[in-house]
Amino acid sequence: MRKTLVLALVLILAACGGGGGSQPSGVGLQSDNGSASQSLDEALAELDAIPSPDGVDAALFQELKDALASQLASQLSISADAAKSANEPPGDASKPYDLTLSETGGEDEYALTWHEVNIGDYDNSGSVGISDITPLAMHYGEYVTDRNSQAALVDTSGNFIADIADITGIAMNYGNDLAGYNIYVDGIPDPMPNRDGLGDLSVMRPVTPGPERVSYSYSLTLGVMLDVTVVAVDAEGAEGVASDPAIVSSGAAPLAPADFVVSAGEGTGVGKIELSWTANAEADLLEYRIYRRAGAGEFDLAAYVLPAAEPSYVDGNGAGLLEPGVLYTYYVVAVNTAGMASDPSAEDADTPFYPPPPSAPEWIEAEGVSDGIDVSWGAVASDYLAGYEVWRRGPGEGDFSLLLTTSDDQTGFKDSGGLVQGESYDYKARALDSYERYSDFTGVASAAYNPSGELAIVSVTTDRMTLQEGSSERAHLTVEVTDPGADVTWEATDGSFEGGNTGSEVTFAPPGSGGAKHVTVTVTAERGSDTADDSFELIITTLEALGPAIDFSAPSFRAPAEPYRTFSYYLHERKVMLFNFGSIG
Amino acid sequence: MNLYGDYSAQGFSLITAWPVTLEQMQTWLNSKGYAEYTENYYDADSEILGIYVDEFTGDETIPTSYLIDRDGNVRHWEIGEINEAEWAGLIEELL
Repeated sequence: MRKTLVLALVLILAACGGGGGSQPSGVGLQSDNGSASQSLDEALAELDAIPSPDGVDAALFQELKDALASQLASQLSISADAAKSANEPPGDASKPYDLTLSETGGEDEYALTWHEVNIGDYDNSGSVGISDITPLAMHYGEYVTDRNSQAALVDTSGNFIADIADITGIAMNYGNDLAGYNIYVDGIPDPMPNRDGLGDLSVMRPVTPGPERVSYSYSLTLGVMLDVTVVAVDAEGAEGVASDPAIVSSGAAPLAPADFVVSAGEGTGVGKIELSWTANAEADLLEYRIYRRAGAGEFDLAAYVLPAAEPSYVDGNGAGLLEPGVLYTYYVVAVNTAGMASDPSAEDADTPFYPPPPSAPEWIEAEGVSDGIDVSWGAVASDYLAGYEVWRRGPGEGDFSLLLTTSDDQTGFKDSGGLVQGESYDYKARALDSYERYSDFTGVASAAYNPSGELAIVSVTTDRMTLQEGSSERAHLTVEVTDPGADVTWEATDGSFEGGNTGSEVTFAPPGSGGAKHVTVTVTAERGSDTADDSFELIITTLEALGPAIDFSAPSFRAPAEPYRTFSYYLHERKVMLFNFGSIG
Repeated sequence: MNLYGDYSAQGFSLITAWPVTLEQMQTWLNSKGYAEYTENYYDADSEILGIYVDEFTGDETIPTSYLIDRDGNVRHWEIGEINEAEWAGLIEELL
């Protein structure tokens, strides 16, 4: 991949420059950061004192601090044993990845360009120390799409995500610092000179480099060219490991990647789309950049991919699963070490595979027992099942609320929390898959909590409270008893029970005459010598039912803004209402 | 007699739907001492009135009053100012 021009070095003319538009300065360690000369105790004390950055979860930050403390304890003790020097230049892993010589257009003139690599220097200060934990926390969980971004500085583990693995970058390189680079041309023992007079190195690191990876440029005028390398230098003037020889740019942008195709399916994985294309052949190829559009949105840079014989990329692996049902469109661009980008490849699109959401459990049962209520439901068969949710509605509660979430192999439990003797509880369940998708709910199962086994009326319900005398209006009455096997008898002070007055469900018919009145209905449960009863009143009126009140919603005094309160809200309160249309004056 | 105050504790309430702003309605109802027993809908274009006219009275004259039982059934309606003593008897029959 790398090509070395063998020409005679004629003259080295000019200028150096640091990235980010800043001016180089004299050699000097950024002393606000770490140093291997620090004792372990001092380092740990500094780490302990560093505050959690604004917007960063305190627990996460503490987790990072603990991890760094652990690794520092190991690393600094090893360093001490090995008599590591106070401040070392970045090592082999920090060699620049894009050192490039490009023709400038002038006679025999070349620009030597590269980006800085200083693993562990997450705050871009030039040295690796305790404070580098802060940018890691601030970018934690961020997916890296641009290798020169601030997030990329943090991702030294190379897994494309700023995460706990990147603590190692700080610990392993703790105390390293970078003051600048010396540039060497093969055959010349001395480094290329600094022409700004601001330092002793060929190129000094900018004092204020900004948040992103520092870029460097140095102009060379070459007749015959030999290998050109750069070497990182620390504040004490110690040189690190020489880079690989500079790549000589072709001077042309790469060709657009060919044969670009995307595909999705169960084989690719849930929530993923695989991209592949034919490898570019350019010797100065640096990387491929993947651009993605979700639905009809805009294209964004989604990832970068290093050159490979059979380049490919699986989207949905690093930054989280792709959304179900969304068409994702992609293209890829090839970029060389001089930063020149190809034309885009052809576009291709697909929708990520997702299995159907789980079906609802086919049944649910609830049974009162001596120490609670046993709830069980039918298992759901799904390769992606994550578990079940059980929801409960207690006495007097209008809505169900989530009671617990189980594992995928648990299809029952005993509810024994906060139950009230003699009260009935409703349960329903639904399945949940690994992708946070839910089934429909089951039906509702109900049971009373009756640990003493006492015979009691749990509830009595009627579907209507008001009936016109002598009319065909009927009230359907239901009773729930703690012992479903108990005998149940109904009595009323007037009216009658069609079909008989025994059993848990009966039908009440109003009296034929007698005028408006209240009828008291009494229900009695018997089990041997045990009895329990309850009573309530029905309203007998002379007024004919003209039809149900019609529901509507509109702004109102108690709900002037959406969501408006519906008329049925008041109908459900079972009050007698005077509903008036009118106007003031 | 104040129907709303007299029977509210027994489960009676007043609902209005008027083509005047909520603030105007509340001011008026407050002046009559009714506000705490009521809910007031803003029937800007008399659309709600129209629904009830179509279903029950066939007459867009206002005021119009409906008596609704605990089950949500209309048991009585009347166009014009109501006779409170007469309506008190109807209300008591349904409470």
